[in-house]
Amino acid sequence: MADQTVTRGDVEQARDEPHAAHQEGHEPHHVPGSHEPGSFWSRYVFSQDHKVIALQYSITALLMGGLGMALSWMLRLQLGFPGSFEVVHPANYYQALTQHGMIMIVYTLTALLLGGFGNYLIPLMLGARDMAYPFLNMASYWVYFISVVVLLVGFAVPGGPSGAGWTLYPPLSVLPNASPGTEWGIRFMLLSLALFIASATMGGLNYVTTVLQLRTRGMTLMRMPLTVWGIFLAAIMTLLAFPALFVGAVMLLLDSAAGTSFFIPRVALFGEQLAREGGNPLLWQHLFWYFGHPEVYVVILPVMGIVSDLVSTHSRKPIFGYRMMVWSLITIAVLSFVVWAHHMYTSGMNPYFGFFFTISTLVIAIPSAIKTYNWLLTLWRGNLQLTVPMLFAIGFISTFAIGGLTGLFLGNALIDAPLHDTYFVVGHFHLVMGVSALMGLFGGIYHWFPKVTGRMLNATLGKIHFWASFVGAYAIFTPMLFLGFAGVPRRYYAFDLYQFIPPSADTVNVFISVATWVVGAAQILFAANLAWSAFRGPRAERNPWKSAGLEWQTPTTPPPHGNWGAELPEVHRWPYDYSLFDEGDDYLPQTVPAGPVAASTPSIHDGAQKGGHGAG
Amino acid sequence: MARRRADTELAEKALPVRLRAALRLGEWRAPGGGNGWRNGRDGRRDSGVGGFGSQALPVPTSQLALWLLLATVTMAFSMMVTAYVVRSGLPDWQSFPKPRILWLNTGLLVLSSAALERAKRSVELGDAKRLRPSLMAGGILGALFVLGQLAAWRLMSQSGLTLQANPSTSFFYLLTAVHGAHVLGGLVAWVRTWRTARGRGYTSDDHLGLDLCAVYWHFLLLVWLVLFALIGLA
Amino acid sequence: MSIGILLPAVLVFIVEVIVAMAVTRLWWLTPLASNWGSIDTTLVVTLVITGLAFIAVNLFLAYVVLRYRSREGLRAVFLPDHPALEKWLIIGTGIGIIGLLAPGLYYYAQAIRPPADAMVVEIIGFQWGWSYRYLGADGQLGRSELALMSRENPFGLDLADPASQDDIVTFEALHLPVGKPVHVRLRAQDVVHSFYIPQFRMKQDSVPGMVTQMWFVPTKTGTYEGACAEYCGLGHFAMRAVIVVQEGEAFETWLHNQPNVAQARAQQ
Repeated sequence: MADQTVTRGDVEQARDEPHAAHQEGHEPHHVPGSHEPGSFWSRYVFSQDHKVIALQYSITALLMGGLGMALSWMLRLQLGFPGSFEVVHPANYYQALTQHGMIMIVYTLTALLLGGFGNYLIPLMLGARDMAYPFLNMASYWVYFISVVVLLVGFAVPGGPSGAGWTLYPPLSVLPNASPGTEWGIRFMLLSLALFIASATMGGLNYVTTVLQLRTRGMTLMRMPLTVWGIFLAAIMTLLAFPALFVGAVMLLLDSAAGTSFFIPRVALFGEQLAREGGNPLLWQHLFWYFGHPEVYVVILPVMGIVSDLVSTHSRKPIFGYRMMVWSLITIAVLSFVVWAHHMYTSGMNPYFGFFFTISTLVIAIPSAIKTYNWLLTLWRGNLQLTVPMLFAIGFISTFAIGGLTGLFLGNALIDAPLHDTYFVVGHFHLVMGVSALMGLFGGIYHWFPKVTGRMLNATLGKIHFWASFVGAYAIFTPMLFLGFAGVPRRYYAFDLYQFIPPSADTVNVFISVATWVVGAAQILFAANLAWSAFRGPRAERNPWKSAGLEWQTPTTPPPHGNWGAELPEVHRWPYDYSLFDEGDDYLPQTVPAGPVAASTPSIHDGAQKGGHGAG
Repeated sequence: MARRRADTELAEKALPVRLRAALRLGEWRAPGGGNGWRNGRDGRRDSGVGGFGSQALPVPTSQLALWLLLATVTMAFSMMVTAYVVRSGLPDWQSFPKPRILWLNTGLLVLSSAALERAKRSVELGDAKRLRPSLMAGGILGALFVLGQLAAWRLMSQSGLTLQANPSTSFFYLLTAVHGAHVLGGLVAWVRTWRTARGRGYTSDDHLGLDLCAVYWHFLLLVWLVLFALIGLA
Repeated sequence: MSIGILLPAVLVFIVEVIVAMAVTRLWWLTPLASNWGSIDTTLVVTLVITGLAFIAVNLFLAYVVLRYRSREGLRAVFLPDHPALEKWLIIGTGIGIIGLLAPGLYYYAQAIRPPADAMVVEIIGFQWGWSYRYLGADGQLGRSELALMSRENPFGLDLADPASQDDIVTFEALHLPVGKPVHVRLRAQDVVHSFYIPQFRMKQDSVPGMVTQMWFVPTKTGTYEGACAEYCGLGHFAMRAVIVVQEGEAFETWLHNQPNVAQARAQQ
């Protein structure tokens, strides 16, 4: 270890001057072995630059999110005002329900977090020029794009898209007319999923190899930002969990199109015997949830990482218990592979499995709880900059808490009996993997938008967006938890047949629907903010949040092709060196060499403004 | 590394803690910080924009990528195998006579794998002359395996054992089809290896591509042996 | 109002509303009508433990935002770790988890073991309705076969089997005697359904090609509703069942007045 003393000059230089900007005489854009973009097509369309691919992924995924949201409005029209809107009938209600779930979980959240955030941040946070396999990276996006196109074509085929619920349980999803879209919709759905899995596998290989192989000098695994840890583990999980869905999708496709009976037992559909025999519907459920449960954590682990970084930066305080944070992420990732059957307590599987899966499911709450404590303890005794990213990070902690805690009801096989497939489940999973994931995601977007575009998002609109989303999410989903206690079943087109459902449920459904549209309007505001600020927003400083992270040390913002100019940065410390000095800037970027800081200069940056205001 | 006892700090006032932190910057490092050069390996040349990672694991990036890919493929096959084992254990499972040609195909794949191993060894020993015949033999035998599997399908469907006939034949077609697709992927890799062998050639200290092709091939064989044993047993 | 004060206020407000909703029981479990009070107990224990955690997290959030929001003269404390504190938090969480697991697993073991003397009823789900089969006088269910299932013969009864003749099949309602354990065998004709009676706290999927089961003891007479709890197509929301719990004698009378399979066929 270099034993030199860090002088004030070194620190100032690292803070104020972009890395390697003083390397005169070098063409900053020339990077050996890189793919220098030429024409418009290779620069913006078939680009192999991770930053362009990240934007392509993000924009596509956000548009899909808009579509998923619009579908949910349609559901809320019927649930809030049953029968008042004739455009919604049971068939398209169930189709919208199915596609809303699938689009949000797979095509929006997974794509945005891995393809968008993963692509953009991994190389920048680790000091790499690009991903390990840029061509594969480009292919990953375009295969994702094709999967989206196939999914959308599925809306236009005869019979419409599949309306079998996003879990696509056979025999419902494939037997003729058992549910909407059993003829063509389901086939397009499955084909699209298979393509998505191919894309995610290409991406996953890239993220994992990049993290393991392309870290810059000094960037040890235990110096990686938690965002990268989250994305890295999620990428490993996609590689190990998605094959289950792939296999299931191929088998279901054969059941649908080729007349096989992997999942179809002998049945009498509408009283008519079908020429199918010997399949087992539970087999699909096992394959689906073996993918489905890790998938939940594929979404939430990157978000946990993002929130850790946001909380630390905007509290001006090191993340609390970094080592525990890493190990809890790893524990969650490993355990997530042995909890899948908690979705199946009432499915008819061997009931003795319930003991194992109840224990494994409740044990996974411990690492999740550790993470929550550590976020809270990071905030504790900090200097909280209540910027828009910070607001969303706090919103994440709150909604993750209620979402995660309600999971403890459903993970317990006994309590799952009354609550399974009621609105309690709807409230639970929306809070934990919908709302809290989006909170972290939005926070990340507000935080790194200046890095991506060189401009700030409008903070006032951002705060409106936060308040509407945060309060709105509670208003929408907590009543659902209580409706679930009352036994209101989910996936119901109407409730008027049932006496046990109290009339007040209708009233609260109106309230929920109105809240949904208010929250929806706020998302449109957010989209407008993104579009406007990308081109017209105020210019951002190089490091507007005074972050210690390596990604803010590129020579220019947005970073050039190859990210780092002529020489790669060298990392000397973890990304959480905050609250180090009493006056002036309180942090040290990762590029500042280690070594005892001269005792005579505890305050080494007297002329600086007070740290970390930004758009707050 | 001097680990700071944070619990004693809790009792202290904020200011001295921060001061001490500032003074001890050299002591507090990221957990596991080390000097950061432990795994330093500059100048890799096997990946797209490689050559920049300084903390890389002591394996070539493309080898790592291949192992990850094989892990993914293993997951896919183990899902199918598990499904097959569970299903074939149920009482209404109908066994069917397996086409004999499967034994021949198995032999072809074993020979193919051996030929690639021989190609790899010959390069390691610097015997470039033996490389091309072995590599060619490996590819041709692999392609023959695929044709042999197609013949097995034909034989089966001619005797009424079609894809839809019953779950045991459905599984047979599924397993062989996915494995066959995996072999076709291997043939694409083989074509690339062959072109390199004919082009710049492999030398005893530069033959990673050939090694990886051989690893993939052995994996193909291993998967097939497991599947064949399963199909034969059930 | 500054956001540093507004945010804690909103967090406290959210906690208050949710606690109020839980305490006032605006929407709460339907009145219990079976032996599964243990489920309610476990649920309430879980609600209390998780509720306290929820309140603690949000109030702590409100506190730190209020107390440590950035203002003149405030500096963050360099506090990267605190192993002792962390250890106690993990131990505390572990105890909480055990508190959730213990009653859950204990009662779950009871829930999955139907008593041997229970009355057996078979329920079959189809798009979109339910039908019910009782053992009849010989105390056993007649043989049934999937291949025989049709609209008229939802259970796929083998009419050649003498044990089938006295079975009683009804589409109308599930009649049950009060205070007697009921062992429900569930089957499905077409797709996966799930039989759910909110007041009994039990639900179980009915899966085509399989027999699944659940058991309970109805403890209060009255008429209850069953709902399908596994999405099964367009009519899922209308797949209502009626459950009539009667005194033992009334139930026997009802059962005797039902035509058995042989009688029903003779009438046709």
